[in-house]
Amino acid sequence: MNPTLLDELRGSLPTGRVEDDPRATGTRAHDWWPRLLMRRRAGEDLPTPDAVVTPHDRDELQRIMAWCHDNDVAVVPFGAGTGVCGGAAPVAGAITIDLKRINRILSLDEVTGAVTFEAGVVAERLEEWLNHRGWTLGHHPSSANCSTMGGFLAVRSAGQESAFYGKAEDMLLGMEVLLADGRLLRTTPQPSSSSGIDLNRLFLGGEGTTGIITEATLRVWPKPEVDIDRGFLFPDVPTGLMAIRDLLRTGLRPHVFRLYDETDTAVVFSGQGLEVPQGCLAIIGCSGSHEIASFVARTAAGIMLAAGAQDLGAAPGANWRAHRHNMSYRFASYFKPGGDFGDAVTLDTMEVAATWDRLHDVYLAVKAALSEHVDLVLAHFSHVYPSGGNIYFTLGGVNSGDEQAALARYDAAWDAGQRACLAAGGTLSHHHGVGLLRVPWLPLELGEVGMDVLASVKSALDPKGLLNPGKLGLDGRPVNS
Amino acid sequence: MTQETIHQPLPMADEVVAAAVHGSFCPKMCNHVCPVFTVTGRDDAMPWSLHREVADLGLGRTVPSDVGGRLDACNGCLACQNPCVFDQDVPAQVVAARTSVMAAGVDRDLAIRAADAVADGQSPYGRDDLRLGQDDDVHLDAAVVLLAGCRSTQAECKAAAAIGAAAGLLVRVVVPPGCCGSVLRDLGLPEAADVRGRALASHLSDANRIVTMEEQCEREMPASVEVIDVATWLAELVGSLPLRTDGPSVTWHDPPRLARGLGVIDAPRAVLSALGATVVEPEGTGRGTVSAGSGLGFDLLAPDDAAAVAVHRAGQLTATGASIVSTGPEVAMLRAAGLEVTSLLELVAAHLINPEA
Repeated sequence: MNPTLLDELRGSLPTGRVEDDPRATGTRAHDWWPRLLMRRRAGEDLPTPDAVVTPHDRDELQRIMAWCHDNDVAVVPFGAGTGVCGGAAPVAGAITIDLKRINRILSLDEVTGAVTFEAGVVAERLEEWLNHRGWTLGHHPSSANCSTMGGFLAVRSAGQESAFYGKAEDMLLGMEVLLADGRLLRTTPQPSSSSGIDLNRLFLGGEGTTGIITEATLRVWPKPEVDIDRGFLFPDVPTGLMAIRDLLRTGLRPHVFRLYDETDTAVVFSGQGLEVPQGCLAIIGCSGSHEIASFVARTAAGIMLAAGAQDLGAAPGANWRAHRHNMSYRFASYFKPGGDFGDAVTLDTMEVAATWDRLHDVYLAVKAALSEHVDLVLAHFSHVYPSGGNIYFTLGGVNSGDEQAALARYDAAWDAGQRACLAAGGTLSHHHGVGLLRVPWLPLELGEVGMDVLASVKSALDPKGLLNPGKLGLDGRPVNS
Repeated sequence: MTQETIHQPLPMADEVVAAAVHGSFCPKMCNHVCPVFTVTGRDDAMPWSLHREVADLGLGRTVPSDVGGRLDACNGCLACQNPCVFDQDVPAQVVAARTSVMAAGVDRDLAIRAADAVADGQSPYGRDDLRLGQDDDVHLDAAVVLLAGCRSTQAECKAAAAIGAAAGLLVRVVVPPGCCGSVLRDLGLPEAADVRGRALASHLSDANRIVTMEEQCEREMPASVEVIDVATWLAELVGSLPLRTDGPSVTWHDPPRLARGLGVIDAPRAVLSALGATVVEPEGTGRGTVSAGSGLGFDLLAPDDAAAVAVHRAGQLTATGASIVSTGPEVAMLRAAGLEVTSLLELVAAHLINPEA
């Protein structure tokens, strides 16, 4: 960007808020989109932001945004940099605004059951703070230890106990959003409202293209007294899915539903050094008071067994709960140069969703499509709703040090998998968002009219196109690029 | 818009570089436990950022002169090791990189200033107002030598002597001029640390037993001498001390290097129980303790951020409503944050029934 402008911004802020040295910009050159990581691993010089601006508080952030608006400077919001779709990837000519210092936990309203915090707080930090006070947010994605709550809201994230607590968007009572012109929009926390269009929905899932979430108030729950996790073995995926659907139709809401396909089941068991059974592992987790959790667990077990499942007892659930972050913790050992499967592995996850009537078809279609391009495809169903659920695919390929092959297989697998999902009636993403990764296929899901509506919303909220240009396929117009 | 040109790799042990490379591909899974990151939000405080800095130095993807302050934002508390399934030692990697950067001739002036202060007989913190004065006259027939640290106080030294006397032990409190070397080593100055260590060893090598009043000094002590921390020493003694057992309700702040680094968690609680104190655990305790910002020279390199970390921890501790007790340099950090903290030595001494005896 224009160096004179950058100097002007630097001069208007306290020392150190604006950085353009390669070490500072280098750590914001990528988020956790594996495609960018693969390029870094291959030794490529990734594009970096022209500058990183780190506001100390929301007042400073607001002044920065107003300055950007006045000077037609585009911005990329950046939290912990752990999104997996390139939503925080730098944009040429734009500055990256690092939001990590805006991270205070502001209040706990125990009458309502609500916590208010700034967007830069790391989710697990918030959860531990709540736990110490006898509460839980119940939002526990695999990335809770590293990601910010602002990021979770911006992509409509889902936690492992979403069947009970809902996705991040379902927990939201109110929030504060910084608009492209530097004004702040504050929606007051309400249990529900019909005062026109829900303005929160203009920003949830917007990934910073329509506004920057700076504060939020989310619903919280008393911390459960007990977690009762139980494993079952189904003969196949369809039987397991229908049993879970039937359980949901009773009106009961266990906190955790997980159903692993045969391949993923084999990995789970062999990973513990156990004999691999024939079939599909399911884990049902029930939490709450002893009395309620026990009742839900008993009822759930009855339905699972009536559907033909074999009761595996508490061990599978205990193992899952103890190791539920392991994939994230072990990521580096697979992915790094000289990792467990050699150099240049292809590795990612793809999460899609569909209604019950299409869910198994989507599973079959995506698995088949991915399998055409990578060596291993695992799948589990881990977020369910009365009307359907999500499928979480893990795709892996060994490339014997050939990074170009790794990238090519990655691209081909994603293209095939996303197209297969749409063709079978699913949605492209359940909870990771769009970023740059899914831009090619988003118009196929939303259609021409849908994309027009999306672009119109963007244009109304950000007529200069300054907010996170290019993400969600929404081109910006950073005039001072 | 490009990053990472290739330079001469900085000499570091292969295993350090390999561990740092590994960490640079980890999806930042210890962000939630790092007190420096939690409090300051500094991008370079994320353990991932530190891994990446060390890795890039070791791989020649950056040059030492570009590092600036990006190796400063770690207080060595090892909180990141708690969740890590690979047992990563971030502070060790940071120290290795600091050492290599210093050896490459990069002027890290704060580290140099600390070394100069030590050479002048002061603590690395450039002050000697808390010190008793030089004591070269170690009684080698003493059963126990208590070694004061950079931030030990006169009150603690007197308390240690009183406790030793009450236990009928021949105890000598040694206040070394300057530093035992630990802080200098953390700052990336191993040669200066070794000089201090050798000077101290000449005084201590014949001691029967050394009790370190600051836990980080333990690693600098002569290998030939038994070394224990002060909490463990007091736990051994309390059964034989004449003590009042009307202890108050207290909250013990686990110093991270004591609880996580040395695994000393039960000993201070046993001491407090022997005083009749009711221990009220704070948010972040035992192995999950939260640092008050004192380690790895963080309070020298980034004093404002270290103070903010201390204020954050002080808030967690005061939330219990109990009196706060701790030991080592964390006491100084918490006191500077405005918290009234009693050192464990002082608390025990205050409970001696007849300290004059």
